[in-house]
Amino acid sequence: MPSSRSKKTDNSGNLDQILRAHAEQEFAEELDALKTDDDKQRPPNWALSPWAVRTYLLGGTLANGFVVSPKYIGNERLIEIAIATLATDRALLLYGVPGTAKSWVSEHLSAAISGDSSLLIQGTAGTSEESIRYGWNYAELLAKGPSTSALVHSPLMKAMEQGQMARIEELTRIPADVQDTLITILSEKMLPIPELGQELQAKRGFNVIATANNRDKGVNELSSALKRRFNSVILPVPSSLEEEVSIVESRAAKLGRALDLPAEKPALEEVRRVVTIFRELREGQTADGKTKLKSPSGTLSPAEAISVINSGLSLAGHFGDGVLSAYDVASGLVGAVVKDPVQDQVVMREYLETVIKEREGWLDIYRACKEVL
Amino acid sequence: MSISFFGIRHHGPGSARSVLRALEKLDPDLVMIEGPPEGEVVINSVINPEMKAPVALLAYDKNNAQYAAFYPFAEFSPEWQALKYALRRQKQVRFMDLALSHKFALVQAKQKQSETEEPLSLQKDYSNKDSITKVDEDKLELDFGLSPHKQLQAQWKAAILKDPLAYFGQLAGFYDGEAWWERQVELLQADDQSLFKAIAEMMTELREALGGWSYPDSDIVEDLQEFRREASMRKLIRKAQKEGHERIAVICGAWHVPALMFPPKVKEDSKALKSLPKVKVKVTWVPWTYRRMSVGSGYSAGVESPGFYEHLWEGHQNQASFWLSKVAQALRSEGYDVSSAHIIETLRLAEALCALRDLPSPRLTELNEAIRTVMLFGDELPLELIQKKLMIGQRLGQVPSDLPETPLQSDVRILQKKLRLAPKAESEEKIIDLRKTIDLDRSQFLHRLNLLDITWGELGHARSEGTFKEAWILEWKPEFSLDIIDRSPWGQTIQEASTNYALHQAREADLKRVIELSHQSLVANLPKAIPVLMTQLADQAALSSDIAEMLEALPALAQLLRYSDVRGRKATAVSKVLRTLAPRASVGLVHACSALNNDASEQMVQLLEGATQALLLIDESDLSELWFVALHKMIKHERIHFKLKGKACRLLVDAQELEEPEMIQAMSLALSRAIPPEDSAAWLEGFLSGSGQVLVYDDQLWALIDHWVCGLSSDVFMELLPLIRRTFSSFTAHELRQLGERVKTVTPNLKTSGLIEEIKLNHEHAKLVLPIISRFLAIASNRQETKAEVVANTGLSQDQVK
Repeated sequence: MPSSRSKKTDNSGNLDQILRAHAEQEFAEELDALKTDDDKQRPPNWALSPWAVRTYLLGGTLANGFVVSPKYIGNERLIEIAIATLATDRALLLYGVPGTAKSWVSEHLSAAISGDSSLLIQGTAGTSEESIRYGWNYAELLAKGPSTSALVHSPLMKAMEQGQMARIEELTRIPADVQDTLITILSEKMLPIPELGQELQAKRGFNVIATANNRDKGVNELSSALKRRFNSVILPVPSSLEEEVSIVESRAAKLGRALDLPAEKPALEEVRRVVTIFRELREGQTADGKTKLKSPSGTLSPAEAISVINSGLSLAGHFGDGVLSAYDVASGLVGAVVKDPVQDQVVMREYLETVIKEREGWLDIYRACKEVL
Repeated sequence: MSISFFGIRHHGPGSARSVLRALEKLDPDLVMIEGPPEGEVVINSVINPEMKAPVALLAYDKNNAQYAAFYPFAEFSPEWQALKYALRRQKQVRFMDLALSHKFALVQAKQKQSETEEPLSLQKDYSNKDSITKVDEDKLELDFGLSPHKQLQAQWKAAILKDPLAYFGQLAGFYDGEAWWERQVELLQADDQSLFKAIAEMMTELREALGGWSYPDSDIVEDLQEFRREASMRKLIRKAQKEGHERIAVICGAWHVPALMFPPKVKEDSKALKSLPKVKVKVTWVPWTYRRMSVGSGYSAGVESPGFYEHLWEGHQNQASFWLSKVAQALRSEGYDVSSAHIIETLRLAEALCALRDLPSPRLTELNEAIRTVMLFGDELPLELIQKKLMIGQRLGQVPSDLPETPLQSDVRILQKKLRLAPKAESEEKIIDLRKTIDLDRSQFLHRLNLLDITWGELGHARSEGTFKEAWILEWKPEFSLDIIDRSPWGQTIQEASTNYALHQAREADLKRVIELSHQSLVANLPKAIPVLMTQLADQAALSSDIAEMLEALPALAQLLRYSDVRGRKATAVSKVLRTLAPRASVGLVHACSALNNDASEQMVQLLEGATQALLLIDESDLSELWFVALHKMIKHERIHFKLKGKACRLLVDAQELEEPEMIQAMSLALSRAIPPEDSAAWLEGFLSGSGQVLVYDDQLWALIDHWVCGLSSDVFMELLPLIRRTFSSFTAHELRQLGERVKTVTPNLKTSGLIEEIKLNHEHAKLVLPIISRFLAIASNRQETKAEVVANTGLSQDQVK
């Protein structure tokens, strides 16, 4: 089933009515400013030069004083590698545990490079070859036989025609035989249409950004032929506590507003504790680096921390006194950590007994977690 | 007469090449190189064919070898190349710097002054020069009580001093100074004569901005020290000029160039160098490794990837692609599929990255990033696999055999004399009584050597460590002498070397090995190793998800704890590790014991036993409490092997943690009809093996077993017999007799239970077979045994009799 692409013009009048705007809509002003400021060489069909794309993603101040907000907070080198990859005509595969901003980066990269982030194929177990290549308008097909007008273009095909970035989300969820359709497209940069005896040769500027979850490794692992056609960049979880706290806090507050949660804004202290617990368990050692810990089977990504805070806020707002407390986050917290009822429970218990219990001022969260565990 | 100054970066292959080119062109009659003047004694060894870089020049205080400094050189070090150049062309070559005899003396004097209790400890591996300056840095704030503002400035200055290039790099917008230098100098392949001029100019600007290089008016010791170093260099250069050398080449760290080019007044220099204290210094060469070079060494900064520098030094036409091919080969040998297409794509990405970062050619960083992205699918780990092999490199240096002895060698020699342990080729046994001081020292000495893998003495077996005697077998092998030289970089004394070596080994060891090392370090009396090993132990223990491993560790730890108590040493760290390990083992015990097969259970039984003993030995009520709670849980848990349940029950009984009613309950549960007989038998094995005392005294238990045995069908009984037999065979003869007695007295009951009555025994015939059966059953030694005992113990006789 070819995914239908929403026309931007349809919504341009009432952007604030849209639940979520595309990156190129939300940051249109920044993209324009970058374009006017950008005097470096652009690869063919790129809206911006690689340097400007870098500034768009990592933030910065332009020569005219215009401030570009950072879209990705973290290792700048990874973004540079991603941009360099796309500039060398290689397809880009963003790997990472869930919740590490893979789709976010892919959206912004295509928004900056092609000015359009909507050429998107969502990979699922049911993604068929038609949704990657092309389908047919059967009414037309039956009426007139195979013709160009009966073709239904997939987003990928459109991207090839227009020389733009195509995005494939969750590549590893797509069945392996369907994935391999991509090989010809990526290596020969062309798409044969045998029914019409034609082929579509990609315009310059075409490229593919795929995302995949490295926890899914082995589900539909990429064939080595396909893998070889991608440059892979692994997006890590935030490297410092401060960075993660600020990401979680700001995202939680934004989402909370969108959901009209009755509680006040998250108490920084509670956010910090949740993030600390997540980080410590994820990294397998305490923040002071003195004690090693076992890690649970879950990913404990920032996205999950955000949802723990949000569910805590909702609990506090609807059933508590409106102020986020240890008891409000405990159930979400334990739920996020204990994904495997046997192994993870041992991990959490050990962690509670050896670390949280001893920590000054953390008795409330210790008790709260003990209660739910 | 002319003097040319070549400001270099230590260990920079680009610098080395430029220096060589410049030297060829200049054709100097004297080469002066930054380095300790004392080193000149052994300078000729550099071109000895046996000498292979990387090596380090080792200088140490003759009377106190703890004060020492290493100056490592690799093939690609500019200093090394300059040395070789000069010696090969038979030009005069000299080292210039503040003499180490003064430097060591100054450090010692300062220490005496501040009256620190501990002597300057070289805790950081082999980075002695570093640690000397480090001490100074630490004192900076303590001693001089600067005002906050001044302090800040001092910090800023110290940061620049530490790495002036980093400062330029930052100014130029680079991630680090290394990168900047690499780009500006090391990656430059063109012959650039103006390079050294530019470096000199740049450094002059920087140093002038930092307050110049005249006699320091502040009382900061570091400044004075720096001035003294440069004053000495100037003094030596002046001397060379006076001697009438025509073309002098001076090769030194870029930082020093301005101070040598534009010297302050001679008066100032003499003032700084006047009546400095002096100690006697000895020098020699020791073999070095790239690995150690990468850690940080005598010449301030360590080289992160000597392997890559060596590659640069080899000077290939297409450095990047050549390097990538090397990487591809290494990765292939590790089992990764890397094709030529990969190499091409990697190179393209690396070059694109360079463009994005405005670099002329890819550095190691870009190459690594590209390798990771293209060849390794984003994975960092395989890169670490080849890190050791390729980027750091595994090159090991070699030194000629006719060099002066190293401090470690002399330390060993002196100790051998002092402890009256002459090396002999034939093996001899030596009994050591640890209560005597000299013997204790001997024991420590031998243990330390063992830690260094120099197995002169082997500790005899079959002596428990609790006793005060040790039996050593001593046998000196000639290769030990070489081993000692080889271990020299680890420390100046046997104590220091064994400490560092043990710590080095512990870094990659598993839990068991760490415990072993801790134990060895304890007996070798290495107080500095113990705390680090303990941390390591705690880390390993925390990382270990294997309960079995933890259980295995417990007895060793308990022993360690007890042993350290015996020797009167504090071992709070051990008990700390125990305190974290024991609860974790307790928490995970039930889980670890569930779903085990027979063999695994058997192992676990041993572990349980050992762990319980260990916990009882250390006698910490809260630890054992948790443990016993876990054992209690085991008794009732569904998925645990019956043998383990039985063992747990028994351990609790022995520790008096299980009341009799509970014990009876557990046993009757295990021996219930609904339980498959083989499981019951396994339970009994777990419960009874080791000692039958409980059976002797507890009527109820006896009755339960009796009842269970009687309830078995004869087929099943035959099947289980070997198992029960095995269990009973672990009892002592005394216990067996007691049990036999008991059977005799209760036999009537058995009869009433209806088992034996059915069989009519022909006692006459039975008597005839009894001796043979006794032999079968390994109870023949006990001649006193009665027929009834045999019957009771085995039940076999009845069938046999038939």
